[in-house]
Amino acid sequence: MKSSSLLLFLMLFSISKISAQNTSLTGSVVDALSDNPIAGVHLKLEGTAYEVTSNSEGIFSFPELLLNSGNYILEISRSGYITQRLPLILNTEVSKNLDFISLKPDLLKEQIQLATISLSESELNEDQGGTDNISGMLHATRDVFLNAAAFDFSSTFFKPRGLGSEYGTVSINGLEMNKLFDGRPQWSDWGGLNDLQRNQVFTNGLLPGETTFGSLAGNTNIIMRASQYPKSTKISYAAANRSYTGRIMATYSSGEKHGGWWYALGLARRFATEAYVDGTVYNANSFFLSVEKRLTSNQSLNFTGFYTPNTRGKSSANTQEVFNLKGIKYNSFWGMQNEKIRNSRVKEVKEPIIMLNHFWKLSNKSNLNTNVLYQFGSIRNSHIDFGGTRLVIQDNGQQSFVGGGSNPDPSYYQKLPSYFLRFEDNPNYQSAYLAEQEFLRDGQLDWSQLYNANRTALNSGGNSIYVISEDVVQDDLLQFNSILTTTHSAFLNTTAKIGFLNLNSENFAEVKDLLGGAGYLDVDFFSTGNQAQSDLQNLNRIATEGERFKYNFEWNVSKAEAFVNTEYKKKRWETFVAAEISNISYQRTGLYQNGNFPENSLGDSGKLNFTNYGLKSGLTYKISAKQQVELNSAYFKKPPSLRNSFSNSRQNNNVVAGLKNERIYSGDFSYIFRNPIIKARLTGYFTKIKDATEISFYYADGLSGLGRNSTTAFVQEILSGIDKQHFGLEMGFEAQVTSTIKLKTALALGQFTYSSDPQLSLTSDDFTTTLNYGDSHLKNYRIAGGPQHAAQVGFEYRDPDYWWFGTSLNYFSHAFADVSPLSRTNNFATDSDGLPLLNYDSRIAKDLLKQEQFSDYFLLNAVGGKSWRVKNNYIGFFISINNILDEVYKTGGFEQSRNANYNTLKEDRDREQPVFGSKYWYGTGTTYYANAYVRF
Amino acid sequence: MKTNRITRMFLIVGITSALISCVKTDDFDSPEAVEVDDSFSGTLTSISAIKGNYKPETGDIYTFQNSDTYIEGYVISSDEAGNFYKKLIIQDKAAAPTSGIQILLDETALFQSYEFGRKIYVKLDGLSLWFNNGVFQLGMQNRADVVAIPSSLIDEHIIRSTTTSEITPIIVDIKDFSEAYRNLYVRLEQVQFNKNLIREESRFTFASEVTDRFDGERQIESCESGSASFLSTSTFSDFKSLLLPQFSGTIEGVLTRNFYDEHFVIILNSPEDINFEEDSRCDPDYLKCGENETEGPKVIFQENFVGVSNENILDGRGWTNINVNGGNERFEDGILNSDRYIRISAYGTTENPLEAWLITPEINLDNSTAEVLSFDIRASYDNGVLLSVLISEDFTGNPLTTEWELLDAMIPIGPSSQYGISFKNSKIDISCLSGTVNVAFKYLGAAPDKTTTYDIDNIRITGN
Repeated sequence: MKSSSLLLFLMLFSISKISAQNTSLTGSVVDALSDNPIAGVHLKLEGTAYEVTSNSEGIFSFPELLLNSGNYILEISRSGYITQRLPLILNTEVSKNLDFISLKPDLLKEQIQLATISLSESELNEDQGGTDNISGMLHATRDVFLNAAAFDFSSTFFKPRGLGSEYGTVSINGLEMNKLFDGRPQWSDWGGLNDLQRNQVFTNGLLPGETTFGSLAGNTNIIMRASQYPKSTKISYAAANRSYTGRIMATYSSGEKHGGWWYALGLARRFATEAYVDGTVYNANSFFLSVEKRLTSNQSLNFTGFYTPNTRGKSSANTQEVFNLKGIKYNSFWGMQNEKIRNSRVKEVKEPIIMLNHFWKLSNKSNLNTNVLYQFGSIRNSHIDFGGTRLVIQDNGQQSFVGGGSNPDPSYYQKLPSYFLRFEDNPNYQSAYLAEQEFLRDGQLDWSQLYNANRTALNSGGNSIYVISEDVVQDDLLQFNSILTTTHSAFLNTTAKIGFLNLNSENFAEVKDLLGGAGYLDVDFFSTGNQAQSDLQNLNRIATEGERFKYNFEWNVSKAEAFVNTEYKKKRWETFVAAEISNISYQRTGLYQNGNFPENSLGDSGKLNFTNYGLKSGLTYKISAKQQVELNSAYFKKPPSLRNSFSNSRQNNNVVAGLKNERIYSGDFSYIFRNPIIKARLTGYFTKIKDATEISFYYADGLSGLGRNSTTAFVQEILSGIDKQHFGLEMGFEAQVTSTIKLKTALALGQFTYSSDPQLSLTSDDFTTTLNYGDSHLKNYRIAGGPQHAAQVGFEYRDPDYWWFGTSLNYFSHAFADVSPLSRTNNFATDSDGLPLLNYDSRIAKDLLKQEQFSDYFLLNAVGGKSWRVKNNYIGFFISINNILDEVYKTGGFEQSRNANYNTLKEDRDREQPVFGSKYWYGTGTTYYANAYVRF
Repeated sequence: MKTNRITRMFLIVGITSALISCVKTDDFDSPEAVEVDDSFSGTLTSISAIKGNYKPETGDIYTFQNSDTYIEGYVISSDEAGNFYKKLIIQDKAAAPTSGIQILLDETALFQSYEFGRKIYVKLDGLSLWFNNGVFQLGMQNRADVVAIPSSLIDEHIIRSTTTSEITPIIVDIKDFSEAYRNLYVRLEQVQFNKNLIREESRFTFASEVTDRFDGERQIESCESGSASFLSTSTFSDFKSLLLPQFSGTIEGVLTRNFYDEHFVIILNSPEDINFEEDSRCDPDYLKCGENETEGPKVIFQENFVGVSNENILDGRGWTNINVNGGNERFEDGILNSDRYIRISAYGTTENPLEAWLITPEINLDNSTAEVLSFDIRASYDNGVLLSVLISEDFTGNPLTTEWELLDAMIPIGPSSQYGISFKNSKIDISCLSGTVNVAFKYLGAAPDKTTTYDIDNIRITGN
């Protein structure tokens, strides 16, 4: 496979020249205000394949244009400047030189773009369980619809076309940054460096990226090269009340220095002792350094390194009951310790990235870009472990583990009023009232109680009962790729890439804090004897702070890929064909011999190997200067992500049975209208994802087939053969009514559903065999995660005097709670002995299993700012206020899988206040974000 | 100009670095434990005194109202090993206590705050007292029940003293179990589990047998007095699946009543509270002829109760079937799936004690060698081992005046709340006996709480 891709690579090199008349075009671009040359300006000869970028002196050159004489349009664009479309006449055999093209800085555009990056970034971190935010990808776009998605829709977890960030790709300097674990970009790895990420190239939807085949939800390539930053110094300060309360950021870029050197520096700090949601601490620093050296006139070498340690407290999903008592800001994960907020669930990301990028202009027609990346460090997620025990050995050598604490979560169901009213015929109103009063009065973690318990245990020679445990992922990633772009003729250019990567990912739990105790007995409190041992090689070990415990394994992944994209561009039509082939292999190596799985936990697992290919093609037809239509299609296979390949990776080497590649078909069709006043796009899309696999973990109650006494267990749920169908419409419309006023509207109508019944099976250390529950009847249920319908109307006012103001009204509907697949299997109607439940009423069952649809809501947002130019310096600010109407709305939620059968679910739903009701996340109320900067 | 730029740059780097202090979000000092002196304003009374408020004749719940009364006591239970659930048991003194009581608290992991030996004060105002499951309990009234004190009120009602005392257990023999020791911390010396619970091939766990529902009750016997009682262990305890220790020694625990208030039980705080010595058992001397369990070809005696549709039939075949306490209950005929056997039970009688004997006719062992005695026993609704099997070479006709030799028979431990499923076979080498022998099955039960039902079948002696 590797040799064949090399062959392909060489073939592209040697595509013969097509003879045509020769001409050339050169020139330079300068800043209209300062007259400084501008590097990194993108120049495109419309209707041809020719595209170049200006160098550090602002000079560009189309050295060999094989074109007929005639009228052409040169599009000159760069982020932060107003795009120009320059008509020009090219004559064959005559070289043309456009001396100084002056480009006007677009202070507003820059402001708005930075505002978008800052705002959506301030929401990126709020991952809600399985849901994530994709808006981080959409910064660079000029598309009206996608702007709305990035700026105004992101706070509700709206996802364009219903696709999560695992279906998009984020690259930095041509290197893909999506994590192999779940396929998603880890935004925190480059957070806070916003000013240094303004150079982004975004391709939407199915289109292949500049440097990657891509997936379904678009690609962003962030260019973070020292030579691509204009000479500037900038300091900014932001105050907000979202995921952080303050941000200070300073960047410096040198411009070209003597001897062909550039450098750029960035420092940032984002912080909150408590962000919008109670108890959510936020603490993030960012460091950035890039140095570039021009080696020869045709080659340069760039080093970019960044490190953005990020620590933040997480927030809990809450049931309706908890929300009713405590409101949307309530978070059960924290409590006061020594008069300071302490959150028990902290996510810490510390993953430095360093890369070397080599740029080589092989000829006037070809560029070769070679990149190497190394990433290390760790991601840590903490939680309180309350199963601390001590070892008791009988005279005859028998062992038992004695102890275990109580669940310290203040919103644990046994502490809420509903629990005391759960027996309809014997409610305990007094206890319910007292529990309610207690929860209203305090309702937070009691850290001192945990310390006291550990101290009492320590005094009697015992181990810690409560500890803070951290789940640690320690990645060591080496990535290499080489990208060749060639302009073969006036109409044809190709991009070809080969890439390799190798990942070693260590996964383990670590004792973070013994909370005043001396050690933690590393056994599973819920098992006995040898089964309870985390590591049979090291029985009854006492783990101390900083030591690994519970589980310990590593993953090894290696991947090779090749990608080719060919674009053919004529005046009236453009087309592309892209192809990709890749091979990826996964292997788990257990470092602990787990007591429940002594046979298959230690050592290497079998090797999983997936070979995939993909094809994409598209056609753009320009009906007239104002109108064009686009048609794109894709078929590709996607390997299951690492997390969905091993059914219970913390404990054993088991691979998901019958694991398959995802197969993806997709197509879209757009109509685009553009004139000096109106910009509009209407797109219809259709996507089918087949054979996806998902693994989830939870505590289930009401399992059938295990007998009367074992209907509850902590399980791994494997859902395989998941088919999804996404289709819908996207519309964006913008009208420049006057030179200062712009009206805009955007609309997304989607329907994202399961299109078949996947297979569900459960594994657990509580039972020996895999329980196969057959089909989970998910067909036609909606896929959860953000609203499927969204609409916006808004307007923008841009004063020539550098101030601007915009407001938008946004409407969202068709957001759904995540359903529990287990409740949709035959288990739901089956008794513990495997026979049908006698009192099963299919009408009631249908009602119980109806998917919850969240209420519709409106969000009114406003943003405005002003910039001043003082000599050659700029000062500016902007303020954004979101959800001005202070609307309370749910952004997501899920059914608790605890009630796995008809009887348990019905019993719970029949209660006035369910004990195991669905859990929800809420959107923020009115929030603000204000930023001020100085640039000189 | 150039220096100006550099100064600016350093300024920026300086300012920002100053702001970027070390990430310090999770660096916390441990909270200090604050010890306060015992202080409350109220009158102190004794545990035994407040029990008088409950009138057993009416059974009404008594609620303390407008009272400034407190009781003090020492915690003698621990839920660390999961053997107590949402309750504390306290006694009035650390040594030589006279009275104990249960307090119901709606909280788990109580051992973290109210550890064994901790002195506590209980504010009674608002609490209710009743007698339930054979013990006095303090809690909160909810309708017709006294339920656990809600967790938010625990701190108001249960005040910890700074004192934690060594609890000196009361040393008591099983035969002396009585009202006076209820809810107190006791120590049993020279006790062991019934031999049928600890046989190598079928050794019982503390509480994880299929038949254990909420508690596993295991018969313990005093070496000194021979009296038997039970060790009760929750099926939710951390040591439920440990195998019972096989030897004898001391057990410390809380003496209380079983859930249905039928008999006394001992409850452990931790499996560490059993201290047995290696190779020490105090089983009676069994007849020991040898290890031979192979049945020979010659059938010397056989009775499978076929046709015994009425136990009177046995009397005519030379059997002795008598109740030696003068009661009416004796071994009776039984049938299941057309298999006949003989059955004894104190259940449904009022006999206390009920001592009944079933003795075979004379069996002559002179014409054979290598004799093996075999019989099948099934136990149902088990609440203790009440059956023993004996043999004698000179039966006098009256079991009470006969010199018997005890046989090491497998007396099965049946399910406590249903009929036993299968018979268990015993094979015993009796080759060292000669002349005429009689085999006896002795049942020593007592209504209403020692009522295990036994079925006996297929009694056979074989030899060469």
